[in-house]
Amino acid sequence: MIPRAILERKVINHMSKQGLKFEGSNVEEGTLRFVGDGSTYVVKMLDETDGKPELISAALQSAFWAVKGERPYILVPKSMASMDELMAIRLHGIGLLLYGSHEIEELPPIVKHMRGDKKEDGSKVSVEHDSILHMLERIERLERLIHKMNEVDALVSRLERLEVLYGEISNKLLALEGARPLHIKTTVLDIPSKSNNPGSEIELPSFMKDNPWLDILAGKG
Amino acid sequence: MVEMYDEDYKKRYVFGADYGTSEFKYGPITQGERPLAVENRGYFPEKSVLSQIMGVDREVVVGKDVTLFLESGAELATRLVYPMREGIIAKDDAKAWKVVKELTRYALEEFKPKGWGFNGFYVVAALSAVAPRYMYEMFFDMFDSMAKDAGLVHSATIIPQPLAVAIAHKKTSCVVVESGHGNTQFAPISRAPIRGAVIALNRGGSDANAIMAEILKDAGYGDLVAEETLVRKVKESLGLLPADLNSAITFAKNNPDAVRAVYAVPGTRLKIDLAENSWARFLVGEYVFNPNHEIFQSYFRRGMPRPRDTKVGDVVFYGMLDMAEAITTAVEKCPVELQPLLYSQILLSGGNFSWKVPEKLKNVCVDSAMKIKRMMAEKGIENVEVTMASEPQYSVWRGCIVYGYAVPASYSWSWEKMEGWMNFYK
Repeated sequence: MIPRAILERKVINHMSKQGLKFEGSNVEEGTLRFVGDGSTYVVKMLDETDGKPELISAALQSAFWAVKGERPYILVPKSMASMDELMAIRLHGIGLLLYGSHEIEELPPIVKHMRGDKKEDGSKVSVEHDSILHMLERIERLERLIHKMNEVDALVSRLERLEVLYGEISNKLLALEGARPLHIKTTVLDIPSKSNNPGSEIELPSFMKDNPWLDILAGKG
Repeated sequence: MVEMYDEDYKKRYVFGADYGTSEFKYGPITQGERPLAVENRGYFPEKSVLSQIMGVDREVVVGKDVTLFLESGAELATRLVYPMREGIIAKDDAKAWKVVKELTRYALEEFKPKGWGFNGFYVVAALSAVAPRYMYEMFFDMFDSMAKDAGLVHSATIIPQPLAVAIAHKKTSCVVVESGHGNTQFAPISRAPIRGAVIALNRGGSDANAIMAEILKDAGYGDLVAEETLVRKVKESLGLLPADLNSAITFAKNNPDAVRAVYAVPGTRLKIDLAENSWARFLVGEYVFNPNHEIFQSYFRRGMPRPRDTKVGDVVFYGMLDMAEAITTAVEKCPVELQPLLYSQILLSGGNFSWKVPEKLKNVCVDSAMKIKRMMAEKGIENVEVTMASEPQYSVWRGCIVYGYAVPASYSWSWEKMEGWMNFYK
């Protein structure tokens, strides 16, 4: 687990690169505060030992800060939540800072704007934002479908490898059958058809050897 | 690719099931030369007894477990059911159908492989040549339920037992004579069964047992005749097949010591000596082949049941037709061009044809093949070749295996042709 002090340093470095100034930390809340662009940024930190309940709690608290006009972020281990869950959090105006073994990755908040909403400077928000949100959702669905297709591709490749393996094992089994003493029975006897293996030396049961019915019956249907 | 897998899969999981009159022979292709066999019977125990002994609530017990119940005694006859004694199960014989279903499940479960890749057996079931269509339908229903309930059956087909015998003996044109416990079937075959030409006799091994029992009564062993198995064993040991009955009886009366024989019952102190009745040993074999000799009339008069003509479904089972007459009747229902070929390939199968020829009686006794040849010659039919099926008890199962192995998996069941695979795997 990455120690909290190192996490804090990584967040401060990341936010500083965005032009924000570090204001201080609240150990009890587990938050770091930054200022810049005329806004206050609050980063709620979650450790790898935290789980879904802590994530939900952090999201609720962050939503409360967002209502107060602050810009909330949650620092989350990459493995804690799925992309769907993270998307749901972002749609509530909360940004995410994902961390793993490498650098911090920022997923900015997605702000839903309604028709008729006004920006801070008084100009109207374009309804294109709605379309963008729809597009994002559709892209997400497409990503999921592509993921599933990749899984199917992987299964097909696996099946093809198994087919090759099956052929190899069948050939080996045929070779073994030829050498097997008659009194030993296998659980699965592989008797080649006459037409497929004309040169085979497999020991067929006596009632099958040179049986004219094999050709008559094989021609049925 | 899929077809190749189907075909390959089928060849690995062909399962033969011969529903014989006394034994049920079964096993997959991997059994090699011989199937397993259990008696074709089931026991319906009292539920409380069953649950105590077996720890399960099964209505009918089959296989080796049946032996556990045989000491029950008085109720044995009603509780022990032999479903195939006459080769045909009545539509409404619920108990017989339950036994057949349980036996089939028992056999398939025994060979069901564990693990991945098994989608049920390709079952080839062999029934009597005179089995009516409803039996086929009920067997397919049974396989369907086994496919749904336990995945035991992938596909199934049903073939007549004589066809299986012909296949096992590599004969593509022949007349198969299959003689079982209760009846005898004469089935001409030419690359397929000629269904309209099948003849059936209402005579089989049980009739030879009946006359053996009468002979035992005459010899003073009337107290033993209730034990069917003992009578059968005496028949197999002492019964003889005469080349000509009149000559054999004359020989016996002139050479009583040559014909006299004693049967010592294994494991007991009992010895059965026919003494001055030993001449009657010739009657046992003759009766199977031709019950029309006047000497048998005295047995009918004293109460031995005369084999009667009966009709089951559309098939007439003749009581008194002799075997040569039955063969000619069957062959004459086939195209004239084919008839000489059929007469030249008569194949006898079934324990009812296993008659020994003792060395000192070889002038008066014959084996079954020679007997048929002589009887056919008496009817003026020459160029007859008769062969005995080798290991006849396994022939039907072997034919099933070859049939299942060779008939393509893609060939669907046809009610018109009565062949192909009924697929149950979804």
